[in-house]
Amino acid sequence: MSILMKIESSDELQLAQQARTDSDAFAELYQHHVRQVYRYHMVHVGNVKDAEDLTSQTFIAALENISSFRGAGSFVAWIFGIAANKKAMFFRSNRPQIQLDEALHIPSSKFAPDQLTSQRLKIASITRALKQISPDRANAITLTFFGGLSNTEASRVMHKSEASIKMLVSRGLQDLRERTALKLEVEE
Amino acid sequence: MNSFNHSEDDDIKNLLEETANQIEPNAMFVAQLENKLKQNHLPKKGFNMLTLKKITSVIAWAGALTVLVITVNWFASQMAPKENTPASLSTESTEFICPVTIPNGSLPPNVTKKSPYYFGNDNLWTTLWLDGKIHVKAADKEPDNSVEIHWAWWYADGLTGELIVEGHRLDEQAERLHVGEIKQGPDNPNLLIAYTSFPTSGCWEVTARMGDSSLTFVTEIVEDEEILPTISPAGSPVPFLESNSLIFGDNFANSLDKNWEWLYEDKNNWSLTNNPGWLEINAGYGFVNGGNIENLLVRPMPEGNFEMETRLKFNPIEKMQFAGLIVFENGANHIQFGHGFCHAPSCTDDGIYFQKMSRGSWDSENFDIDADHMEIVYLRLRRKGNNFTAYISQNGTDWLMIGTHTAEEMNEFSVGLISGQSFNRDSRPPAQFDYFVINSLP
Repeated sequence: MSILMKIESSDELQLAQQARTDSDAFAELYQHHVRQVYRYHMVHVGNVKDAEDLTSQTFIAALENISSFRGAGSFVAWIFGIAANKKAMFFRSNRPQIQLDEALHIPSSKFAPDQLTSQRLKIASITRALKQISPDRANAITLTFFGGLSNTEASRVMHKSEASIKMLVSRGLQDLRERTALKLEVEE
Repeated sequence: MNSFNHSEDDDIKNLLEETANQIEPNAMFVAQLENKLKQNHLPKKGFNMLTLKKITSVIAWAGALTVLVITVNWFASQMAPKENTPASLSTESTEFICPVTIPNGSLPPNVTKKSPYYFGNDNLWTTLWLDGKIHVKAADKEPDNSVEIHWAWWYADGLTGELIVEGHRLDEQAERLHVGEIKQGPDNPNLLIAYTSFPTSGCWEVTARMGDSSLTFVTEIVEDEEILPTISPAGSPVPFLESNSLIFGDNFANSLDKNWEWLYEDKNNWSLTNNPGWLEINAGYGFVNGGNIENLLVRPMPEGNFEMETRLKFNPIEKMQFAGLIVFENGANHIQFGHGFCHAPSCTDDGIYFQKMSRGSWDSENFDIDADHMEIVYLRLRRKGNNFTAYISQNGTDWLMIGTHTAEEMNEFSVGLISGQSFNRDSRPPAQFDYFVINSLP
């Protein structure tokens, strides 16, 4: 039950302290944030494989560096700071292509429910649309809508004021509306 | 014009929130990563288990997952509403969930190209399905219902000894896994291919050992033929024939509509009888821009705004194979939208592509999107002025926009169907079109 309860930030700070030596404490933090981190990566990269890779990298880096978390800010801002770094490294590197025929004995799966495909296409559309607007606006939108961060938390991740985050989100939404016709993608 | 439209802004907010809420990580991935984090955490608590951990990590993962699933099952059974059910039926209602192993992408030795299908530790590797299951059709099974697979295993440099592969079924009593001859694999000194036979479907735990190293995974063999999309022999209904806005329609029933024209026809590579109700065009060698494409099926482009639509069944497997809709003037000027295979940095391999060639040059944007699970897809291309906007759908009702290309010149254009562009002269995968329709737009 404790996993499903909302963890107050003071509890998180305490958990983060415990997590230096207690794997269960780290696991609790992980369980609380893994979904948001995954969503954040998923909407940036647009595919499950890379989203899972980046989510793994984010939490492994967090575990390795948990001792450096001083509790000056919120834990969620700290973990999303790591996630943002991992995402930036991902897009800087030359991403290798996946060679499907390397899976020697893997036949292709022929079936997926319509709704899964539709959902995947919607994510891909949003991923593409976010690439058409300024990186700061896109990052503010993904942190708040997909990472579930408050404006205050997003401001810590992006090292900007809370007012700036509000402005970035507002203008980002306008960009999505005016420049990308994103609203049309669920028409009819 | 910079007025802030709250209603439309709210629409986008709702779309983002709704999409965010639909994104859920795979439960098995979450559990595996949690286990991995816990294992990585152990040394800091003072346990000196690094070597043992390396050897047993995979077994521990599988064990932990088994315990997790059993625990979840037990919990679910305890929490479920109790009904007045006879004890024997109550026992039977507990469903076994196979704790399948999801590949971790670990790259085997002497393999340079990354693939999500790889699964391994520091000593042994194999490949698994992304969902952890082996999907087989009844026709794929042997007469005795067994499933035979040539299974790939990679081993680390320095690892010596014979490869031993064992397996047993977890959910029911069954014969053990049969493993026959193990051969050296192609193009990689660290690759072995084991002839493997699963005596039955179901949930299997498989372990490979070499020297003092081992790798264990759990997979489930499922027959899913009955849930695959099936094609009605007569194709799908053709409601468009009664539409007031209809400009042209062909349901490919018995013969082609007389208003079609074949360009570069090869009669041996198209058919209306191979799959009755569908037009089949084999995607052979030849390229639109190379002037050697075969079997372009076109008719004059209508005046004014319109949309054209088809339902396509196609499974491209080699580079550049492509089938779909085309707006065609000549090899140097055309727009094509369909399902194709392109392996290049700007492509997504098996994907939906919307491409424009103008004056002999490809537009840099191909709007590629992963087409996994899209063997059958609805394609719609809408013209408004000089803009062509592409949409796809899985059910013919819910449409998603792919992108827009703008044609610079609109001279003697035709519209129709394309199937071709195979690099391999020996490979001609069939593209099947259920219908083709053009409707006028305001």
